[in-house]
Amino acid sequence: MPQVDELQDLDEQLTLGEPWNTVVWDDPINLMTYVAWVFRSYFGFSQARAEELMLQVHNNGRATVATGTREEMERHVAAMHHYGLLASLTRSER
Amino acid sequence: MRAFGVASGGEILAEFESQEVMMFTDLVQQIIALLVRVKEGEADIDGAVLSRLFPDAYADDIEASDEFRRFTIDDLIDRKIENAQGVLESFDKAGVRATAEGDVTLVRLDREFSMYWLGTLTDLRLVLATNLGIGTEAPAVEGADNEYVQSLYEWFGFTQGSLIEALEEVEGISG
Repeated sequence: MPQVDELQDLDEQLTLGEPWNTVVWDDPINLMTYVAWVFRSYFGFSQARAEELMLQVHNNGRATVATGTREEMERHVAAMHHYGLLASLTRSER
Repeated sequence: MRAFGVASGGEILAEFESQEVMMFTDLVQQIIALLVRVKEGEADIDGAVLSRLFPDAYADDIEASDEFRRFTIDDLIDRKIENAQGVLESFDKAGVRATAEGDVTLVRLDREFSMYWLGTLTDLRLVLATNLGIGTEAPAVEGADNEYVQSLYEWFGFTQGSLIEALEEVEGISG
């Protein structure tokens, strides 16, 4: 019978492929043009895509700006924090 | 200060009055001092300001957020300080132009220094807003001259907005 540690390792391996999201939340401080600028300069989005995501943040209170592994999304969230945006990781619904 | 503008060579320019330079550089130095104190783990820092500058990375998981913060905060602080020092440097390198109303400071920014400015203007606005009770559940700081803080907050917002417009003009994006 596998040890508890091994079971946990297995559990981690099984969840590795599960996608995570980088979510940016609306805040009343950052200028809309700044948020769009961050999306363009950091993610390399087109102006139209950056605007669209910025408006999603503004109107819906949040937008998913990237999806991928947990490690990648942690990097994006840290970058968003560097730019002063409110961002967090969420797990994708399966 | 008038809005940032773009010179014919694509350089981004703005003029500041000496009083504005003093106020601005003083606040930038204050933010560097704040960041250094956070890095040194000093305990007397306003929790609302801290959690806005270094937000939770996991909305519903305090433990994971704390761990994330432990791993990322030193690097974030170093980069915020680098931004702030870049802003101070651009004032050091600024030219002076004599006008009928006195000398004005002429700041020139390339893309690299514009990044420093946008970062620091954001950090300043986040701290000022949090002190005003904007974007936080914490109440406005008592005893502060909120009208003055509000005017600074708006001034930095105007400055940042005009810098973004100038950058977009350089990049060929019309606002």
